Amino acid sequence: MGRPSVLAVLALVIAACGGAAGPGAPTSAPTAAATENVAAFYQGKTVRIIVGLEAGGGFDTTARVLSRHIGKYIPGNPTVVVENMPGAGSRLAANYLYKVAQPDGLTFGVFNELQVLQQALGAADIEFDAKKFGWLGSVFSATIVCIARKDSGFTKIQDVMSGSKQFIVGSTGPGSNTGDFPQVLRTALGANIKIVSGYNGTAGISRAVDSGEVHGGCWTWESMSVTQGKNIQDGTMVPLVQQGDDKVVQNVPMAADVAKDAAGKAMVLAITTPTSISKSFTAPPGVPAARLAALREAFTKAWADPALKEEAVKAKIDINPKNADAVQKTVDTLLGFDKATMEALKAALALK
Amino acid sequence: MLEALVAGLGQVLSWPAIGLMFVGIGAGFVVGIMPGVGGATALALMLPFIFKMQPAEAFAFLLGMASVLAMTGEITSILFGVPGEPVTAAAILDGHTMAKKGEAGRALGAALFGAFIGAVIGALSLMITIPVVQPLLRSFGSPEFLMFAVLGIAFVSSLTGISPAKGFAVAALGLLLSCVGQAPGTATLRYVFGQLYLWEGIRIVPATLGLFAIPELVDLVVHRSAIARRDVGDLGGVRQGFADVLRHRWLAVRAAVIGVVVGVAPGIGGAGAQWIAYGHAVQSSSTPERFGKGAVEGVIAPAIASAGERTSALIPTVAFGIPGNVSTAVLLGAFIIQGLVPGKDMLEKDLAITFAMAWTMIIANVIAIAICVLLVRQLAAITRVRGTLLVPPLIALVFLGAYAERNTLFDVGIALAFGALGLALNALGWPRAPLILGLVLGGVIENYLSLSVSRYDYEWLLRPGVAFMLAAAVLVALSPYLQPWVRRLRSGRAA
Amino acid sequence: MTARRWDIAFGLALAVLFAWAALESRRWSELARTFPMAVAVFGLVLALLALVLPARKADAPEPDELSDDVRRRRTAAAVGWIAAFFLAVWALGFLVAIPLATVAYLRACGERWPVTAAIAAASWAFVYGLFDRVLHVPLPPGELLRAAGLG
Repeated sequence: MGRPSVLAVLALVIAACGGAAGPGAPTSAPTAAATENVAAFYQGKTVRIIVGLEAGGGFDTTARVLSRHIGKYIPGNPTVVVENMPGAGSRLAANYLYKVAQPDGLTFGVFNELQVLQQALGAADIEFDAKKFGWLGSVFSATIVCIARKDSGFTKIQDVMSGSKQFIVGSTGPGSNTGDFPQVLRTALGANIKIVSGYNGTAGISRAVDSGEVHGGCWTWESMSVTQGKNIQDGTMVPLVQQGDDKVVQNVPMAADVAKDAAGKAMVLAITTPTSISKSFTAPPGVPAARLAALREAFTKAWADPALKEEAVKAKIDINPKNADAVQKTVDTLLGFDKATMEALKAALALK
Repeated sequence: MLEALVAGLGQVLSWPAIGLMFVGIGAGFVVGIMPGVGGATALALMLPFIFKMQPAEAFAFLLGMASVLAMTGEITSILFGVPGEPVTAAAILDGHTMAKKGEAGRALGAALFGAFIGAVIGALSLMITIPVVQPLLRSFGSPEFLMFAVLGIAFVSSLTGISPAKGFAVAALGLLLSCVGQAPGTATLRYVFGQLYLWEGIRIVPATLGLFAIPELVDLVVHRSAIARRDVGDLGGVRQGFADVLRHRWLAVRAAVIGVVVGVAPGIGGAGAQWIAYGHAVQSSSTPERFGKGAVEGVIAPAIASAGERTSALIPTVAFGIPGNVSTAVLLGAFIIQGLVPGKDMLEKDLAITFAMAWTMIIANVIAIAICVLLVRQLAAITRVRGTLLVPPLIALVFLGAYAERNTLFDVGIALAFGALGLALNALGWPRAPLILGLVLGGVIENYLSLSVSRYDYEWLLRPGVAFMLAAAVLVALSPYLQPWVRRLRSGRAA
Repeated sequence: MTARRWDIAFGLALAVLFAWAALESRRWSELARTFPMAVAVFGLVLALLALVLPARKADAPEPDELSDDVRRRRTAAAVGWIAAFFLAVWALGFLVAIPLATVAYLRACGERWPVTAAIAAASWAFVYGLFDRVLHVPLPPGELLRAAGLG
């Protein structure tokens, strides 16, 4: 079979051709002249948004809403299309955006922000360095909430921390908020939690909670408020603890504030750092500065667009965008946590 | 409730909903030919258009399209042996064989009429179960869903052909292939060989295309004739196909029940339903040896079951916001855009809309079947075209179909690998159907098994529903071996 | 080899695959290992059973005008063409490869130019119109073209 070697040769050829535009290429500060260039460049072209998850999901819907409005804010008004590239929990798309996609400003994309945490944890098959991406900004800042059925006997987080009875939560699996967050709570809060893994999405967890198969679960408020909002209002479900930039439920403590020690608090903050830059869009590293600046500006303007907002409200997409600098700062924070915290986190997640 | 029923019908029949339904049906016909973009992708692409629509209009559009997508899939399966949707692959075994015998019209008639019956029964069950659906589904947990899938896999015993050992070995291969990728509920990667594309497992679209379409393509090249090798005149007509469905009406009803049950249990999906129904058709036939050689029951049962599944998959979606299959997952996004909250609201306050959805599926199927019947003669004529001319477009269709779901040539490679496997199985007389059933159900079984065990240890085995279904599964698995014995008993009594 | 020998070879290959799968699964955690290991062991036993158990007698094969030799040659040709289509798509991308391979195939089968051109053009129009224009499915440019800087 000659294919692998042919591929290798081709990869070399491509690398040779594309070297000039690769990461670290010299870039100049945007000027008025450069802006005109940008408009001329984008005129009549097609910009692709790579979505690292399947068509129809939250990331996909968000990207498609964005794709219908960002075009008018990019100089030259290019056509904008969405391409799905699902695989490996969006790690495939992250790697693609880093290594394969041309850094010409015609491609940007979105992958699950937890992939950045995976990089920090040193997971396998990660071929990107999140610090070097050309981040455009993020869409919202998520807050994770843990709820319990009232009839399960857990009405406040202290009931779980006291440890007399095991709190059983449903989860989609490790590497997700639904799995890793309660897993960290076990160590950080010393909580007696059992995690049942393998449910199909948060809808699957929601069903398991509804039918009483598990006591509760932890996932982002954005989708929890849709599926469980009513139950929380009428008291069938009780929020126990939350963690995020914003308190979404009153009178429910932040997990970091009830951690049993400083190390626990650091772990909780580390594990939830990515959720504050939920749905971060990024261009490959090395996009010419003027085009990157244009994309960043367009991204920010698009999320402020009234027509987009109207669609987002209908599609139940929460908007609380952060700009590129804020995302870059969060990524740096995430990758800069001290070794002790990361080791503790790995131990808590049973990664070693 | 009756009021809502009428109001729902009124919403569907009012302008512009009915017009949008026609647009959806038209789009469905074009896109439905393509295996990869058929279901979820096409629907996701249509979502932007519904932002400005009223709920009844939006669902007339989307469900009109979804209903036709699969119907078109039956057509390509029967005519070319290329499954237009993975949920219509079972139509190939007997339907395409019938086309080769010159009975394309009859097979199409049976499949289309069957799909119609399935859709109607599915829609009716959606309407009827509304008062009880929430408590009913809430009484099921992971162990019960596991047993549904186990009951499904038990039908393998009717799909084994002439050698049970071979059939079960192939089913085991399917189950093993379903383990490729990330293990459910853990981060362990299994049999992925460093390929990121394999993390989410072997996709059902390229696998089905390869296993079924590629051997049919090779067959077409080998025979160098038209697909229809005989001309049987009117006997192969669409009317005959309709009559066949009526003749096998009890099989039709049972197949519909299979479809509805599978649709309600999340996870198994239409790709499983059709094979379970096919297995059931073989199992309940007094002449099981006719299957695979152009038995019309082998077309009717899967067509009805997959249509029934498609419609009843809306039941868990409406009642809990749990999509029963991939297409309903996209429809769920449409609910949210329309401000509809699955659960209590859709069963009470927005009941008329829920009924409107059921009506849409019935009406869309009536329209689609009418269009198809008008076109059947022309469609069947394709089977008399020189085979050579069809080979390149069909290869392109298979490749694009495998490619388009995830936009990667890797999946075309998967299709080719399954094609080679399909050729080998065919040439050596090993059955192909158990492989797909294993691949489809393996993931569901392992997933619910691990959930059941990690939640309940082994206590779940004592639940009454589990014990009952386990017994049923054993009975189903043994039935091919019990049947001759039962028949002898009966004939002995008659004598 | 005779058909029976091929059959045995295939059964053995399956058995080896199941055995490998079972061994491979030993490395994983209990949760990840249980199902594949059970399936593999079960499959191994069945594959070996299939080797020794005689099949129920098959019906006489459908009367077929083709001799085994012709059938074998044409099957090989068909497999070759499908592989060639794939290589063409990989190297040149769908938009170039499909019309090109269509022309090559139809001409090789002795079809006349007008028919050949019509089918090639229709296939191209279908791929371009539906996939590229309407559905925005990203069609790969083809590795050779990309390497040549034309992608």
